[in-house]
Amino acid sequence: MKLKLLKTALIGAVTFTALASGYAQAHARWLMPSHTSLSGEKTHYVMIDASISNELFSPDKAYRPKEKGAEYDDNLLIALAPDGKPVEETIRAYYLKRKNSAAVSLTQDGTYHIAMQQKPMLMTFYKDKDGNRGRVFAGKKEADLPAGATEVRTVKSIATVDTFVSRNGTSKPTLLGQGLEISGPTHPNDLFAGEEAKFQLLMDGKPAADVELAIVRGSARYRNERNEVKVTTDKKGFFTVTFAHADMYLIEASVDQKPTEADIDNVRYSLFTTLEVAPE
Amino acid sequence: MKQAHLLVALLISCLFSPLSFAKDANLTVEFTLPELDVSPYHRPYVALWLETPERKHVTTIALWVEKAEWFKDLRQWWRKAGRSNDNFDGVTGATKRPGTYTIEWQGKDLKGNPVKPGSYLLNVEVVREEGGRDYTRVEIDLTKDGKVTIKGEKEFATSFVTITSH
Repeated sequence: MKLKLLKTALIGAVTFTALASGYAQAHARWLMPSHTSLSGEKTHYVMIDASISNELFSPDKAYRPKEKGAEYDDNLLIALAPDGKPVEETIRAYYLKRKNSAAVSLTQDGTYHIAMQQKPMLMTFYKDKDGNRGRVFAGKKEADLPAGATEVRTVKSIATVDTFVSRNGTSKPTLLGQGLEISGPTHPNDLFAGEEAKFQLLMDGKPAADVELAIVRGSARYRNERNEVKVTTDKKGFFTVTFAHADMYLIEASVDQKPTEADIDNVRYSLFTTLEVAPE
Repeated sequence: MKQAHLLVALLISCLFSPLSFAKDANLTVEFTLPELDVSPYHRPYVALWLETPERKHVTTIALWVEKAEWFKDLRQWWRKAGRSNDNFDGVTGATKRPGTYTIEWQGKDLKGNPVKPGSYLLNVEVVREEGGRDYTRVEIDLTKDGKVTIKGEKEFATSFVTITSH
């Protein structure tokens, strides 16, 4: 009993710290492709699952479609084809409580860059008159805050949630051009256990220097520790990583930027890139 | 008449590339697919290829496959060679039953150009539907005669490559 109490207190403390630093530690968001490498001439479909969960890559929470009660969302995902253009065919992501699932048809040879639609999101944090902290998904002016709320802070969040799939040949993936994202020299669909990979972190298309990234292996449910590997980008945004095991991995990063708009206290960029590492 | 033409063509080709005739190294691979007591048994996809010591694909020596849809499961071959625009028709054959096969390589790349003498990595990859995947590589020196053992674990049995340097 005593132990349980202590645990609760500890969790409470952690939560408090996270909120006090302004922005609740975001949950991991990710895409999970059914395949990352496909061969053969016929049109291939790849299933893309999307979920919000810390237990990589077991789905926990799905993204609710914008329209209330809708069974699917046609605007959740985008796919940039090897020719650089967005796939025209509708990508219908079904809402399945714990995850969203969509089939994307691949007709071109090369690499598809698949991502969640990036729309900046506004979150307003506050403390009510009883001292309880809360969060509203709205800007400062639109937020329906309780009377007497203090410590009101608004964060603009720009998240990249993406992955890569190659059909037949690989090609240089088309950049999203906004938010955080990784680029070569190593191709994201050419990763093997035990080999060093080198990437460049970009922010709005420009090298992002001195940013710490966390590289987390999937199959998290079947081990006790998160075992994330931390790396920091150099002056030109490059970082290297040697994946010890074959698995799916999530590359996470977040960067805070000074806001240029009024009524916004912080701009937070975040990155969640799913990569597959093959066994040697 | 036709034969005379061929002879002339042959003579000309000798004149213009005399080295390719005399000096190309040969490889002879005695390659064994083991009998496996499994059901169902699907004949495996097999790839043998040469890489530089820096692990760049030089040429594919043998490719035993059926459907392109599963080429990607030869993961290493696929990344190094298969997903390029190279033409593998000359080295492609059907999948094979268990047994020992002799694979000959005459020292030419996929375009018919001689491969330079030197050290290479001979890569062997075997993958079987509803089975496993074995991948290994051995160093070979095309400038020295010799015989190298290629250790197989499960999907292929211990095999051998004989180098004739000329």
